[in-house]
Amino acid sequence: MRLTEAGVDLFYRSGSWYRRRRKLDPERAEQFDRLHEAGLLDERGRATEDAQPALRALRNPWMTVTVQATAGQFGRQWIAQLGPTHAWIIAHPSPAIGPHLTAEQVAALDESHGKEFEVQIVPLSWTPVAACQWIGINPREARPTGLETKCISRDSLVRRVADPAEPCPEGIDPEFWAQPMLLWAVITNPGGAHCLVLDTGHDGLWQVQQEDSDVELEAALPHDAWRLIVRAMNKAERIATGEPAEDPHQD
Amino acid sequence: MSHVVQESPEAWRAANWPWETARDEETGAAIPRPPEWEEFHTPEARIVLRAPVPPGYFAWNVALTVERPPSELAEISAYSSAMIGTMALTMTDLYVIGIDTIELYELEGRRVLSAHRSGPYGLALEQFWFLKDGIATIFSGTCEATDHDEFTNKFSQLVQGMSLATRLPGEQN
Repeated sequence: MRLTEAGVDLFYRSGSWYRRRRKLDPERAEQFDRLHEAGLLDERGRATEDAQPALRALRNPWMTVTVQATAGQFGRQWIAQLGPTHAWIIAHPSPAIGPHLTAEQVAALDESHGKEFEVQIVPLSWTPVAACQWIGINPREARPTGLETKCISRDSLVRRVADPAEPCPEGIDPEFWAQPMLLWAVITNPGGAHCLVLDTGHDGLWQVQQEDSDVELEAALPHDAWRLIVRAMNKAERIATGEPAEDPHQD
Repeated sequence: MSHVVQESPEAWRAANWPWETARDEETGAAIPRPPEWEEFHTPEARIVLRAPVPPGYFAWNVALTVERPPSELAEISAYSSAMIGTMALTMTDLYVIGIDTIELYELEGRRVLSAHRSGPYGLALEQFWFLKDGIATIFSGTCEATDHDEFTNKFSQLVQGMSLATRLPGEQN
């Protein structure tokens, strides 16, 4: 389902007063129809019984998970608000790097993605999977092996993510530097920022560790990147519910 | 390619594992059984281990299945493609997250991490499969997706102590 901010607002305020369709402006009326067709609003503008778990998540989330993605000049977001049983997810179009996109194509993806958002309502335990799908964590044909690491100037990497024309730094494989690059981070509330990952398409995923003016890129399998997302959610959940922190020696 | 361990599963279990072993005498497959996990044998799986959980929660479980694939699937890559194709047909909203080459006692296999939906649950399914002498042994560990970080190490540990099947039921070694 796709909604504008007006559509989200209509759903958020559903039930607080009757919103007969004929009293709405054209944009809201069109959004009303979408919500009604999706079974979230009845004909009088009240949230349906089936919509209650989503409405609870939207109105009163106990935790929020945000994935921020940057490539070229654009930034996109995926936001999940978690309720007792379901998550309400609102997102820009997926920035996932397709198998045949070049560095230039990824960097040139249009920032203006219109006024509409993708909306998903999913069971709570599907939330990390939805994040994974949006960001494009999936099997790679060729990927880093072993414990490969790279050290790059942070400024160079930031400029390269924004512009593929950024010169390749000394000591870095030009073939790696020419790959499409997408940088993404997971932020939770509560919890804050958890991890930063660089997706280089064919060259795989890299966990980014900040070290003063440099960053260290550590090769990560899709399995590892998935765990970063799940672990961020688990940590935020422990904070939100007041559970004790995980024993760092448990593994 | 990562090396899981270089010993035999029996030696590894004896040296590292205080738990009992769940065995399927008909196929020779075996796996360590965590304390308090229930053990079942079903027509579909040779061994099923299920964790005790409170009512209303998804019961984390491990299933060991054994089959003899047709000759055109006797190579691990072809077998893996066929397995994932079948999963896509039978599991709701299957999403494959990662496919890794692994090694168990010098035998190449695959680790496949995927997610699918089952009723109200979003589930993570971590599978390891190996082909030896024409017999496929498949380890499938399932938990709620949000619990996977807690269970993935346990799944790997169980695989380290897993003995592969040497025959199908009714066959002689």
